[in-house]
Amino acid sequence: MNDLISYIWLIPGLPILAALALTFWPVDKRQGASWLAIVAMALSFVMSLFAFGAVPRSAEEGAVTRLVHNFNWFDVGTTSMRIGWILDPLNVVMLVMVTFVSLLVFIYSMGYMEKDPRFVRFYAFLSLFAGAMLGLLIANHLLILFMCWEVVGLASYLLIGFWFQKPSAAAACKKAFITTRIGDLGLFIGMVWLYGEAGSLLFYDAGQGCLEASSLRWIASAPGMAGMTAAATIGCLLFFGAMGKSGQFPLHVWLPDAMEGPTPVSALIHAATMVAAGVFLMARVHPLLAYSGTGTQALSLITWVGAITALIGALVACAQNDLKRILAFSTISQLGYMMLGLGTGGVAVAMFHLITHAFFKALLFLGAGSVIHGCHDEQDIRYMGGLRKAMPVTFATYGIGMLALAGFPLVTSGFWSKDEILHAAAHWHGHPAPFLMALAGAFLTAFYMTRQMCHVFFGKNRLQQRENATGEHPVIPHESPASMLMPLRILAGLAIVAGFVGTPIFPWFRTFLEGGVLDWHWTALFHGSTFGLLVGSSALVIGGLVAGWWFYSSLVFDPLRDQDPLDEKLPSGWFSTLRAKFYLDEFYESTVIEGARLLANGAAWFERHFMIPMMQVVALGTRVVSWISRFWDEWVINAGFDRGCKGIQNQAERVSNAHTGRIQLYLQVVALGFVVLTIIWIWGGGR
Amino acid sequence: MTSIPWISLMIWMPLLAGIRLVFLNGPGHKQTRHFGMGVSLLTSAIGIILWLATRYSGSGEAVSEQFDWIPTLGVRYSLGMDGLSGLMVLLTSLIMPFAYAASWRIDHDEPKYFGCLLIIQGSLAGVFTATNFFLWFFFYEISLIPAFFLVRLWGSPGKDQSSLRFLLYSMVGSISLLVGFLALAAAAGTFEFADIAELSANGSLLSVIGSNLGWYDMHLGWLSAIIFALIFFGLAIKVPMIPFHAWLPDTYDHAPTPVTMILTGLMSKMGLYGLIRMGIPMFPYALGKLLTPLLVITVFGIVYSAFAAMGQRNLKRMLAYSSINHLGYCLLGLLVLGLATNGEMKLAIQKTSALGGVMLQMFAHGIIASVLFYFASILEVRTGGKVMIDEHGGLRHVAPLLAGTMGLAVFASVGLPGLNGFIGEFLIFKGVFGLVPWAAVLAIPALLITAVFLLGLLQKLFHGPAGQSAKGFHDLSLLDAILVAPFVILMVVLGFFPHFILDGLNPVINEIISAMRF
Repeated sequence: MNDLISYIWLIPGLPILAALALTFWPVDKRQGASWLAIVAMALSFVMSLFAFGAVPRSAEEGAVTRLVHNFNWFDVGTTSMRIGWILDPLNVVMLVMVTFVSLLVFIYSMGYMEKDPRFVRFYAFLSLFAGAMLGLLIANHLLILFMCWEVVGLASYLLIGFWFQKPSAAAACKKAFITTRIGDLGLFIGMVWLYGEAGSLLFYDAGQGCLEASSLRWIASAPGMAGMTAAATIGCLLFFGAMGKSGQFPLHVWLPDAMEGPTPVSALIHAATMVAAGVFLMARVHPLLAYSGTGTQALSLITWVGAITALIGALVACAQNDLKRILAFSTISQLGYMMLGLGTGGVAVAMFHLITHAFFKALLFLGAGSVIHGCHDEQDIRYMGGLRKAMPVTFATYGIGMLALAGFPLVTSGFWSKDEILHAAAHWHGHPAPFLMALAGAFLTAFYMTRQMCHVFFGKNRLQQRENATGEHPVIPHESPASMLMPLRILAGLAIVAGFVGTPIFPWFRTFLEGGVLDWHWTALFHGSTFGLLVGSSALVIGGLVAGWWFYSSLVFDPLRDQDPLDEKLPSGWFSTLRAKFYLDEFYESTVIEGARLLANGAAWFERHFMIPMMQVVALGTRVVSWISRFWDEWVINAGFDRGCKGIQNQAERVSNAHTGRIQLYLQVVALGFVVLTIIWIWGGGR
Repeated sequence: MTSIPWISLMIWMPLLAGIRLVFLNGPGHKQTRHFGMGVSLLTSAIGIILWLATRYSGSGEAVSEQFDWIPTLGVRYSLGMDGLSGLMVLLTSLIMPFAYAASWRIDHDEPKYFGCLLIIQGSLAGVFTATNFFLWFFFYEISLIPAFFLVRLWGSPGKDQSSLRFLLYSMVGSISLLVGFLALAAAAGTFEFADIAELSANGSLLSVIGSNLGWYDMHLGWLSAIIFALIFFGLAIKVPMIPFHAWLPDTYDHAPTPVTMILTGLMSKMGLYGLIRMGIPMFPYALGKLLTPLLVITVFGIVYSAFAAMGQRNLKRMLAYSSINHLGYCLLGLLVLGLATNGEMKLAIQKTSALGGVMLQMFAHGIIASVLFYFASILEVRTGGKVMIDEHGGLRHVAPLLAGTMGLAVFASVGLPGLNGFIGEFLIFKGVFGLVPWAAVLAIPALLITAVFLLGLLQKLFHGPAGQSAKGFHDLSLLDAILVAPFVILMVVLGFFPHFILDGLNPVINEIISAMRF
């Protein structure tokens, strides 16, 4: 099995090949196109399972074995650029998760995108995305990871803007690409810096890689910026990239807008996989961040940003009306939790939540897609209601996903993974604030998800109100086709059981990732602070659910007239601030964007009114010189040369037919210059 | 390859054929374009074969031709090709027939137009293969004349003034370059690049300047700095380097678009090529002296031109400023070579990276920029001259193929990894960061601004509801697609396999870097 590593490129390679084939695929062969993509994805999934089996387990704690395959890419001068693939516990769990969720979303899309005229193109983009994402996972080289990272961003751009005829989608895809690129520039500098310090961007290379002890020792001793070591500075710079990709405050603004894309895209890219790439990157370079002696500034930054993001995302989610945007802010919030977990607890904590979140958030998005599909493209939760009768399967699976996200005690995966994070944050020695923010976020998560459930599935159907207002035909909500429900059922199952691989009693996930002996710890649950936290967080979650139910269960409001019940209870202005997402978009619009626009217009104005007119001055000067030169020409230069110039001039006239008077002058200037300089040269050099 | 003078053939065949066409008078010579195309293609075929010869030779100068020319002045007719020449000849061989085909339907004086193109093709081949200054300068000046007439006679309104400015600026640059190089040649007693470079490499160039140009009663360091500044200024105008760029936006805008493809794709490379051949490696000390101010200007220029591009409403002008911006990275990568390394291996490696990046970027920019201007010409022609970006909208509805290929070219220009614009940019930034970190960091915002305006361009041209210009708009025809296909394929292939061209360049890179190890 060990030579599996040299074929591991097939895991991203198959979807890429599918994408390439689909680019040239006839647009009317829709069935074949979707099956080609699905089969390629399924093969990748199977290979990922093999890879999962092939990764060696380590019984020693902290000693992870890695399969690595490095080779030469190209040479510049005398130096070589070597790249490679890697298989280790960290990326095989990601490989299995990504291929699996991708496969489900590919199947789901057959139903969801059924009527779209650009069905084939959709699968081409999705396959491109999947291939690049998988390439990102198996990269053993930061530059290769960065390349895939950017191609993933391109795929995201293409898919957010898939319905490019909508101006909002066209704006959203640009915003997503540019906002993430702001972060990527930090990543870019960090990468270049790391390359300079370590001399290699290979992560693991038999002791020479940039994440291995000898390089780390060197980087940790080199000076960085602002009093930090180079290691800490590079860590912070790399984190900027992760902030953009993983929607961390204050670069999260693109993610809600990205919901303009088709819903399967939101499920796969903007919930389960791509947005988690930032967390994965931080997990990948964790040895650099956590190297003893580097100072923990980078990890502190990650912790604080994660906590703030977790809280702000949850706050804003409470006041949104768009079904998908609520989920988007929820994703932002949960990504904040992952970062918080990474900063305080390490790789296993963050990755566990990443995996469980991928399942239940994909479930929620696909469920939302089913709702939107059933309500004929209605996305505003104020116009829904009572859907549990019309869409029973969607309701049941969505309910499971919602409970998992809220972290309903004991039976859901979200409970166990979020609890790990809270546990790590509680024991963080830096400051208690991130822990408290995470607790507040946990309460709010339960609250806003209940609000959404009540709006969508309970009470009375309010679609009628929209029709009364707009005069459209009545819409009867209907359940979705089987190809869409099957993925929902599977994911609902996973949203429950995925948590049991990482409970304090049976910490399989942690030992798999970090090495160590797996054992049952029956009493771990009742171990001092663990138990207290379990009870406390359960109480918070149930409190949030009850509060949400209390506010929204008897919702009989008229969406065209009435306020949100929460708005009535809060001091005035609070709810509207939350709904406006703390006016962050407006703030950026009036500062950064307006500033760039001013600079651009200023530069263009300066060009038009100064740089180009200035040339006229130069032209005038040359004209004076050429006038002098004519004088000089006639008196100093001999007649033979003059005749030569005449010849050039005549020919020029024959070609151009007009206006050559001045050109002749310029040619003469050159000729004259040539002669004068030759004289100077001979005179000077002759000495 | 020894018996037939292939390089001379590549230069003189199109040059003479072009001159013949230019002086063909009277009407009814429309068919000459077939003849011209044939010559152009044949020349390109020779060029590609010669590139292959340099690519696989594995060492310095692969092909050369030498004769005494004007013995009294010590001037030789010497042509030669190493990896760098080969790469530039390859670029010429790709872009010239492309520009030729793109101008198939010009409306008057066909023989003269195509004759001018052929003259440019020949003189460019000369510039990229000449191994002494005299010959180099000869071809360099010849290339200006047809370019000037192409803008002047076939350009759009405003052409008179802009063609004049183009010529004027070029002349000023030429004179500066000439003065500088003649002083250098006077000191060194030779025109051959290789001889001067050898003097420079073994450290005797300064003393030679001191002993032979002693009548300039001046401090030696300053004297060499002045000579360098003259040469640098002359070439920087051509690239162009801000603030000597004022000729460019007007010229690119008013020239017939196929000519703009040549101006940006090839003629701007003459400046960079000149800097690599005779500017940078011959004056390490002078460059070191002037390094900081030059870097400040270059970095400012990179950011400034990105913003200026963002502020444009005219598609061709936007691309013009974007070109200035991209070539600014090349200048940046070249300038940092002047940093004294004191024999430190680590810094020499960074220089290698920067120089390799510059060469990749030159090739990548040549391909990307000329393809982008080609698309601009398609937009312009098929909408009856609409070049303002705001006049378009939703073209992806009617022209998905154009949207796809142009989108790819735009992303290559943005520097998306996996496309050919990236590796060069990465290597440049890696080298610059390792040598002069502040320059790299300050230039980085330009990467963002580039993405902003180029994605904005895609959004305005192709997305949203179908606009006015989309009515009756034709997508790329089969012929268009065939023309563009090689470039699109190169963009993708070189993004993943840069060694395809880098392998041929490594001997040159090593030679230059080892000559500059001081």
